[in-house]
Amino acid sequence: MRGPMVRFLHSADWQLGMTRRWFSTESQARFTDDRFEAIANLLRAAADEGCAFVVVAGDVFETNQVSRATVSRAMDLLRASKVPVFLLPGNHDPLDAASVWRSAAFRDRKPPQVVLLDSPTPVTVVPGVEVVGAPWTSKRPLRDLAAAACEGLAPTPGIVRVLVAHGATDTLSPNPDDPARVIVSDLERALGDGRIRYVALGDRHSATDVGGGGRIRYSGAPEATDYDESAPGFALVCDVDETRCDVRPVRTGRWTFRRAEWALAGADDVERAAAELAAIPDKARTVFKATLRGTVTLAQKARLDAALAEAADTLGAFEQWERHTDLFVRADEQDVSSLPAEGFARRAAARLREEMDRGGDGARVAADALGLLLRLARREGGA
Amino acid sequence: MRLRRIRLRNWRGVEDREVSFAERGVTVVVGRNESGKTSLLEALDFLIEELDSAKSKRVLAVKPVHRDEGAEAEAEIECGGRTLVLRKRWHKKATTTLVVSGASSESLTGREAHERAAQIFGESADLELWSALRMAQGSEPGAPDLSSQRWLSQALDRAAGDAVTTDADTGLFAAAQAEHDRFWGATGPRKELTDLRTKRDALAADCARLREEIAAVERDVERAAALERELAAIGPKAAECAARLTKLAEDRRRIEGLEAAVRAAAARAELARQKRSGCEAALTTRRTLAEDASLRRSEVTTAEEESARTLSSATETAARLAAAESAAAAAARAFAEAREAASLADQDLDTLRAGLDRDQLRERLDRIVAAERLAEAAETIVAATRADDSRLAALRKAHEELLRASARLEAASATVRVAAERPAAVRVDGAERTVAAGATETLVVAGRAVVEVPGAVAVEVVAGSGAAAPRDAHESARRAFDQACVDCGVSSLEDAVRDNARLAEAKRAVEAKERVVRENARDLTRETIESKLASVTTRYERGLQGRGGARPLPPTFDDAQRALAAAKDRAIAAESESKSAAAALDAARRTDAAARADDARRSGRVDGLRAAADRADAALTAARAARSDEQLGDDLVAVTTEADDAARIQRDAAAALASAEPEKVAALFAAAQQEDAALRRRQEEARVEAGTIAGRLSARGEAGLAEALAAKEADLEAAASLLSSREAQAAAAKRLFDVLSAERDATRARYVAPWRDRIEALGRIVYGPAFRVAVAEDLSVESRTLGDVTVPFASLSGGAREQLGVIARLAAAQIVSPEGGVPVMLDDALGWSDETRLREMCALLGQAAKDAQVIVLTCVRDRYQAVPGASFASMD
Repeated sequence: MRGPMVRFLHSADWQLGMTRRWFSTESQARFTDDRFEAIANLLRAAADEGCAFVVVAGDVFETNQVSRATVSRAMDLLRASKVPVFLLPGNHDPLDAASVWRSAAFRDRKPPQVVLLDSPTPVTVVPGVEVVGAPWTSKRPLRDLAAAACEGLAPTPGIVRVLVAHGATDTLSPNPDDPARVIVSDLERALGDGRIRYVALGDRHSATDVGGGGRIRYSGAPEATDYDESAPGFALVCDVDETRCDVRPVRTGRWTFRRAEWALAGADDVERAAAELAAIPDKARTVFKATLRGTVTLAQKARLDAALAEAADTLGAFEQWERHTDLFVRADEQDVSSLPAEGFARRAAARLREEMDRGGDGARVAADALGLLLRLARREGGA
Repeated sequence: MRLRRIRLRNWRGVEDREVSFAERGVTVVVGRNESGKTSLLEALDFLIEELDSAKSKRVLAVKPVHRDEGAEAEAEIECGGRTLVLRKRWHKKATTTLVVSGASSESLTGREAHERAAQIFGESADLELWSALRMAQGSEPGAPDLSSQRWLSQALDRAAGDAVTTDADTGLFAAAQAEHDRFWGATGPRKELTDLRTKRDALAADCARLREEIAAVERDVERAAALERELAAIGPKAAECAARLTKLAEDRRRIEGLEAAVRAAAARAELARQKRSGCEAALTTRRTLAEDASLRRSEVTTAEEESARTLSSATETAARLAAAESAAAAAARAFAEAREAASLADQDLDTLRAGLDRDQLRERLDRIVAAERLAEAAETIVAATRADDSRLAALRKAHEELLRASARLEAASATVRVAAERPAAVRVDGAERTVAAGATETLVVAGRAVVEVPGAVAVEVVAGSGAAAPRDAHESARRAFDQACVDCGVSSLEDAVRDNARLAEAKRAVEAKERVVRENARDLTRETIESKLASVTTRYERGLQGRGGARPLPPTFDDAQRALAAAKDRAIAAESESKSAAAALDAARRTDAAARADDARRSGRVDGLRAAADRADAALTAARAARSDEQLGDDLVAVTTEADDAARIQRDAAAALASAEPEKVAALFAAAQQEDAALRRRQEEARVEAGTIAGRLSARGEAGLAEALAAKEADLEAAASLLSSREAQAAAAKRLFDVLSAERDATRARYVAPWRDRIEALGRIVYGPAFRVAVAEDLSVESRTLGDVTVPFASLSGGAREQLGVIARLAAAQIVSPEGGVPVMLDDALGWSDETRLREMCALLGQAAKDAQVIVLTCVRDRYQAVPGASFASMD
């Protein structure tokens, strides 16, 4: 008997309650709101696309210690879903003694269409369609939970099973000693013998087709969370039966995390960097991290600082990657000769310049001091 | 700026007066008091400062009192390469005219003239410096205030060799100071920085607290999982333990039954053993009774025999005792007698010793007495004899002299030989002498001699004159010889020789006495010897009396000693015998007493043994009457069989119990009980702990700790970032201010140096090479040093302050002289200086004024007479 074709929406890693500590208060508020909005988009897409249900493959919450408000807000959103939503405890929110899933906030506010996958027991969504969860019960499981969930299953003709699991796969994990790695070959065997038809994975924030077969996938996070993610901000609409597995992404997120490395060797470079910053679209939802290298004069540094300050004011967040920043500020003759003073102030400027040239801890303070002197001179001159 | 001349008209009391000034050097303006000297200065000020229309109080004050005229002043001044003639009149017909000549010529009037003049002065001259270099009459003498003198400052800047300090420098300094003061107060960072740090620290503490709370939750989670695993593991273990415990309890009950059987068999066996023991004891008792009776009878017989033996023994010992007693008495007597004999022998020996002592002592005494007597006689001789060895020698010598004198006289004298044919009586010098027949009497006549044959012849022989000297010598020798005889107490040499021999003998006798006394007295005195002699004599005599003459005294001392030794030996032998006899007596007594006691004891014992034997016989008889010996034997056989049976049953029961391993079962049971209890307890504890943790987690789990921490961390990040930025700003502001301050101070130090050098160079003219001054940044003179003595300016005398004031003004004038120089104006100065100083100051003025214009106003011309090259102008 041939099983039914089922359409569902695959998402993961909502990580509700996530904060970015380098964000300003306003940016953080916007980021939080947009992350909830991404969930709302996702649920709307599920309804619009005619999905039978939604699976969230782990890390619904950032941690088990999220606030009651975050849980409440999430449940409130889910209440609007028109289809069942299956939530899987992941490594961020395992089903341990302090689990958010055991909290009163979740128990009391959980809408009826929300199903917690708290055991590997298959749950029938509609006749012929089952969802099997591989929930995390601790932060450090000692075996491959996906494989464990498959062990109790037998190939059942006429039933499409969707395995919902979380964690790094052995093909992608950098840690070969991790006993919880998801072994792809085992999953492929389970797929091959028909115990399952699709593996909805969570943990990796970038949408990824694991193994290339199309039936083992990471959906990626619904909203970008960091610089290293590729193609975050999507959910997957999956059409699955015994013979087919069609998957297409739908956009859910709005934020962008960008990184730039600027090698600055003169006024032109500074201007280019300033122009690049100015050209960023949707600045309020862009997080930008800049690495600065090279040598600039005090005047160029002042120009750069002004551009960076403007970026910091307008971007969702602006970071200077201090660890990788290696920007040397030097004072050139023009910096000093531009001073209107001819007496001791000029000699002081020359002395600060010498201190800058000597390098060391004092050089930076000297650069700042000389920059301040030039700024004061400009202000005095303007006054 | 140089002042060429000035003219006053209708100025206070001055009607019309013009004074000209030397362009370089000193111009001394001399005038009486109130001659208008000070008005010259006043007029200069008015020309520069006051509009001709001015109606101020000080302008009105210069209007002449007795004339209705406007006060008028005119000055010719060189300034900035131009020559200005400026004239103004106030009060009436107010006028201002200015004529400028030089590179270009100008002629202006009115306000235009005033303003143009002011402009030229402002550009070319330092009017403030001019004012500062003026030393006014009656003012407190002091150094000029030069702190804001532009020309002087510029001159000093140039002298310092650096670029000038511009307004831009000072403006930047002020701005940097303001920036610095934004962040730094007098004692450290300002509140903004400290508040930021406090906030950052508080947030860091909050984060740490939240992290700790989260860590506690994590620990609880871990613990809860561990407890859950533990509880899951405990379940099967507890069930297995309970089953084991049930099985062991059954075993224990079976063992308890076996133990009861063992106990019962043991009790029965014990009872049988006791009965057998009773029978055995009864038999033993019977046997003992019979043996006892028999034994006692035989004891009686033995005792009776012994008693008979001891009685005869006692009789024998009594006889031996009597014999010993008499033997002991005889020995005692013999001992007493021997002791008496020894005592007498001892006395004899003592008496004999006393006799010997007496004889010896007496002999010694006699020798001493005899020697003493001889010595006494010899001493008499010694005392009476004068012819000792020296006197005898003298006499011999005198005798020899006399013989020699006689020989010489005889040779010189006449010799008269009277030969008698028949015996004849011849008288020579009246002395009768008879000459035998055939004899010749020879006379030697030294002087005169008369030889008479009585009745017949009288021949006078007279010696010649050659005999006179020998005669005198002979006479002298004769007298010396006679005197020596007298000294020796003799009449001739022979007597003297004899006396001398006697004297020697007597002296030897005296010496012999000492020796005899020493030898005989030895360590005693004569008195002691006499006393001892008396004592031993008495002892001897008593010894003789004591003997009573019954026995003869032994003839010699040795005999007495031998007798004593023999008597002592006899006494010792007798004593020994007496002691032996006494000991034998004691032994006999003891033996006798023992024999008698033994006899008595044995008699008593025989009586006692007889009574006991009777009692034993009675007891045995009674026992046999109760149960015969045969009956007792039968009883024992029966109970022995019973006891053996009971013992066998007991062994069987014990074997059954041992095979059930009761100790092992008990140990296993106890262990199982303990394990069961421990498992239950652990289960309970784990459940309680899990419950507690669950409660804690449900309280903490919904507190949103992680979100709270993230929010705090964001706040901390922002606060730390802001702080870091502010700190960088503050550090930059501080560094900038510090560097600017340091550079400014260095500039000032360079700037002040030429000013100080100039003052010192001028001052040395007055004060000598040891003169130094300290100059502050505002160019004021702080102190003066002469040699090792430094005095603050304010503490200097009025004269010294005034002198320094003049020196400082001249120094300033010299420094600015090349371009913006102004006249130094001293109004009635140096009134405080003594004559010596005054001369030195005059020299100084002359020197300093080579490069400057100096105008001195004074009412005492003589004061400045000594200024080299000075010009004098009179106001009178």
